[in-house]
Amino acid sequence: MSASQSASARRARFKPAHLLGHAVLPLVGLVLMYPLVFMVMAGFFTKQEFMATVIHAFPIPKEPTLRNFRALFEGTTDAAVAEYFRNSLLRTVYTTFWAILTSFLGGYVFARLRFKGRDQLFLLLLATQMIPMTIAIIPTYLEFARFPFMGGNDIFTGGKGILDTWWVYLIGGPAINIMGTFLVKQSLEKVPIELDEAAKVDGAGTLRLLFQILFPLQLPIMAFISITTALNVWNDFVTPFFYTNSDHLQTLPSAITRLSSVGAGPGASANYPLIITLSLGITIPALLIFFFFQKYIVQGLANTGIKG
Amino acid sequence: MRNRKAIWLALPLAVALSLSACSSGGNSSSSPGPSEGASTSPSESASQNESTKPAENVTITVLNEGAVSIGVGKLDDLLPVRKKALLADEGQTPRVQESDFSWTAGNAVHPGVFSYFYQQIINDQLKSKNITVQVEDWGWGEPLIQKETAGFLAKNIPDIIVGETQMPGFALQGLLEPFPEDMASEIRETVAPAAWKPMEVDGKIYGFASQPGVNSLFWNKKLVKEAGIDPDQAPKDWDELLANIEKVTEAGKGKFYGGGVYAGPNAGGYLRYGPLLIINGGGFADASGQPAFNSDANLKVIELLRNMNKNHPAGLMVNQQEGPYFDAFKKQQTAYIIDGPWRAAESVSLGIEYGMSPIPLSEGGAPGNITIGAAFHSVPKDAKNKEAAFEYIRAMYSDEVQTLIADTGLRSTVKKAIAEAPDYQSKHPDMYLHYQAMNGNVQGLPTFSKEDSKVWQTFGDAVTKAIMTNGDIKGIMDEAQVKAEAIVK
Amino acid sequence: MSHDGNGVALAQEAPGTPRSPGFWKRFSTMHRDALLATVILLPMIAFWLLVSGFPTLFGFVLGFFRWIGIADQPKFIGLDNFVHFFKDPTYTNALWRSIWLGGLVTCITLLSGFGAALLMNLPLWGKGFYRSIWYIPAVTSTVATTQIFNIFLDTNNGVINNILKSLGKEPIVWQYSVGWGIFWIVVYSAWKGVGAAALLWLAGLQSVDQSLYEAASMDGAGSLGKLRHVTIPGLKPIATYIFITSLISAIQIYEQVLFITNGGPYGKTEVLVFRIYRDGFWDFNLGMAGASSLIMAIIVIVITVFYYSWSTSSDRKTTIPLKKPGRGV
Repeated sequence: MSASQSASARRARFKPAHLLGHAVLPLVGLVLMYPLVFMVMAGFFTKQEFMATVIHAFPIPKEPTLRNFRALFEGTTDAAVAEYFRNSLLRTVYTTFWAILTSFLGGYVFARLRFKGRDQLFLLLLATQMIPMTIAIIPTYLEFARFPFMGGNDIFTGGKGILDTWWVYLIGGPAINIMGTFLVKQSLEKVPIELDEAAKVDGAGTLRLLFQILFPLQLPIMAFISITTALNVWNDFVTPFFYTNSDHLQTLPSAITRLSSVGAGPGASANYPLIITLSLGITIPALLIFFFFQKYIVQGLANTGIKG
Repeated sequence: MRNRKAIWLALPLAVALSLSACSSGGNSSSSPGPSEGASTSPSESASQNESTKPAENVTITVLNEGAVSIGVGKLDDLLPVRKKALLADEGQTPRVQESDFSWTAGNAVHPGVFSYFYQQIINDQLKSKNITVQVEDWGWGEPLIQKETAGFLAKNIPDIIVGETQMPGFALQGLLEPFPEDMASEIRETVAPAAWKPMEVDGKIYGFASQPGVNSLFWNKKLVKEAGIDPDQAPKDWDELLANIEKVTEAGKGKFYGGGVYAGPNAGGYLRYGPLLIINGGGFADASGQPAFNSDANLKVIELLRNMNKNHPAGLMVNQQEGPYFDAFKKQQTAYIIDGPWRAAESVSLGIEYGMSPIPLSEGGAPGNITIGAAFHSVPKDAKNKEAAFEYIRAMYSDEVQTLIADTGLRSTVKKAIAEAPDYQSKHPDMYLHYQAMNGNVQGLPTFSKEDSKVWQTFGDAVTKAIMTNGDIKGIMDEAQVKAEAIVK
Repeated sequence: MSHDGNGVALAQEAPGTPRSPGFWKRFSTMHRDALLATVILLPMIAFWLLVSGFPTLFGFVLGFFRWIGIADQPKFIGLDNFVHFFKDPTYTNALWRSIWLGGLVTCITLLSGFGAALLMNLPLWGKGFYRSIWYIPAVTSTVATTQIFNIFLDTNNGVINNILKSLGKEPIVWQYSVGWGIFWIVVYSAWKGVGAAALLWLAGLQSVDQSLYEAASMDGAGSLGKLRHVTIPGLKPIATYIFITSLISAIQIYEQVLFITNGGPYGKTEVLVFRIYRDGFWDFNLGMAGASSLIMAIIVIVITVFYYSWSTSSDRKTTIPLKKPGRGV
């Protein structure tokens, strides 16, 4: 409770609150940072040593190796890491771009435009977010496989449809991002409608109103939507794993899933130090993305100036 | 190549962008149509070209297991790449030399080069029949089962699929093509049952594993010696095994334990303690395939398991994931373990001096085993090139491939003629013992007629409950039997 | 409710705005709005239907069919799957567990996230760094965190049990204790979710109008009063979002159950999504999987609707008196 008091009193009495902040944030932060520390340390192990010794909370290898870290940059025979990186990156950028666009436009429609059935439609869309996605995996697979006129299909059958092509990643792009729409809607509703009307009085068209006046005000929430979407896509292994087979379409997470599932076969053993190092290769860029965006959130919030 | 792929990415992106800018919803959903060519992956277009070259040439798509995998793509392209990589790989001990790439039957094989030779032999045999092999990787275990399930449903399935415990189920559901008669009778005559018996349904064979395993008893000689037991002597029967295990636990004083067998509620457990049930005359199902969990023979085995559990670190024997159980053996914390033949090679690589023997018998028991670590290869009903696919399976049990497996010595050959040749026993005594077990009474895990995994879960949970609690074993198993019967009814 | 909000805003509009053109404009936009909305939404929703709408619907429809095994032909059986769901304790127990476990995870994640956000909102040196650190668990891949959790919770070689052993205590078999299983599932989920929750709360805290704090100070409100009358009401919109999204993801907890307890011991930590997964992919019982998903979706929707109407109704109660000091200045 003392923490919450201090927040609102930050301008008046800040000393004890700051002390608390300086004590709690780094301490808990250390706990939360631990996985990174562990991953870095595990990366120096050889597969053999990782298997044969008891791994401690802070494992120190007896015969440290740089092989796993080199694999992160150079790839291995079984893992074209650079290609996976590129695929992950392209996919993430593409999907995030669409998420921003569809969330903003969707949020505008549901917050500002008035038409019959608007709230019902919105609630329906929102309700679909409550569904466990497991249920859609097999139907989606069927749909992709039966995609008309693609991948050797006649109307519905004959080939692989869009399975195992880039379309698997691209097709979902322009679909409305419902959670983002919800967020933008919430946020736009706090922007006074007079702003729109004043803009129209000034002669601004809908496009100008949308992208020059309203969009800049939504930057903080856009930063958040971007982070969530980007991280989801960046870490997603289900889509590449289920709907593609070719090596040149794999992303880093799906490649890792493969590497670890091959090791799950009896008699085979997964190369955990390598897998953990590759995971580090997913985590670090994701953290960088986050670091970049979180600054942007703060700036954006400072610039918003809804009142001004 | 890479740049071209980048263009393929950029093109649909631009199409999608421009279409959405026009906001013409009706068109945009069918927009992929015109740029269809852009989405065809390079490999696809390549294979199309190929099929137009010589008329008879067929390309088959094959799923592989990890142990023989050399990567994803066309074998022709993969082999040289793999060779270069092996020569450069610092992780190989000893390092792979150029000379390792020439092998003549009867000579030792560098274990790192095994999968290279395996695929090279298969590729050469199929090339002579105008068949090109394209390898795909769908993972292993649960992810693989999911992909195969979806693939069957969409009739989008490779010409050869691979798998372990799920494969008999696929066969039962009629999703697989039975082996042609001549092939089936050849296999029956010349190949040990472990490689095909679990895939036999109604007198037809639906799958083949080139280097399957059965369970053996392994022990850590160092730990056994510390307990005052002769490390070169295998325990004669269950009583002696349990007595030895208890001795080791006592000598270990909490630093190491006697061990025994993994008994977690999953296939990893059933495959390993299943042989004990069979040896004792019990099993998972009766002759008609109905669950039979609570036979007296089974109860006796579960009692043995309960006693073994006291000779493990708490909870280890029934741990939900199997990994930690094997970790304990690898880290020299348990002395005895029932496992597949790979335990031998892995122990060598970890510097563990091991002993290996057939699983001891119970009083009045008869030898019996369960196939484990078998990558069954099958041809789906919906495969496009079934004949060519069967040629692949023929190559898997060809003398050349099987001699390679025998010479490598990581697993044993399944071909009777090769295993029973006089020098096999002297060169690879452990693998010869293992072969003998594969050539005896070997079964697979049964697939129950309805909601298979639920029935298994009922069984697995009951066994762990019997092991972890002091409750009445018979009562627990009777309850599971009633539950299981209700599910399959 | 947005209409209400805008209406209030408009009524307080500066007197200089001409009234009648506003009315005319609004009348004409009635049609323009619908048109514009169609142009914007149609393509977005078409793509959405393609990639998630139809597949999900298809999954639901299967809930009314009996379809066990790939080779089986789906057979329409009406509501039988739903009846079976409520008759079989395996399902009802799993559902109940999903709900309370989801609720527990949501509460703990949101509360700890809120505390963290309050601290992060202080003008401390290196706050950007702290925020990023707190987000690490959220961005770490599951494969790696699984490994790390095993290193800690492994009954045999786990860090925690090794500590217990060195203290002369008996090691704990986490997987065969329902209480500990639940405990670690909650801890793992909170650990993974706290960064995101803190970030959202932080965004909310920063979006609260600063002048309201000043106004509240002038009215003589203390720190607690400001928290109660300014901060908390100001957080309402974001709170709705955080609560709903957290609950949705918490109720669908699956991965952590899979690798911490795998549903054990004896199925006592099995949650509904876990069951759906096993039905769908292991037994290929797509009928039960579809029916269970539909039931789950309905329950989540009901909870959400209740929460939504509760939060918006209390919104009116608290915001109306509060507007006075803020706007009165």
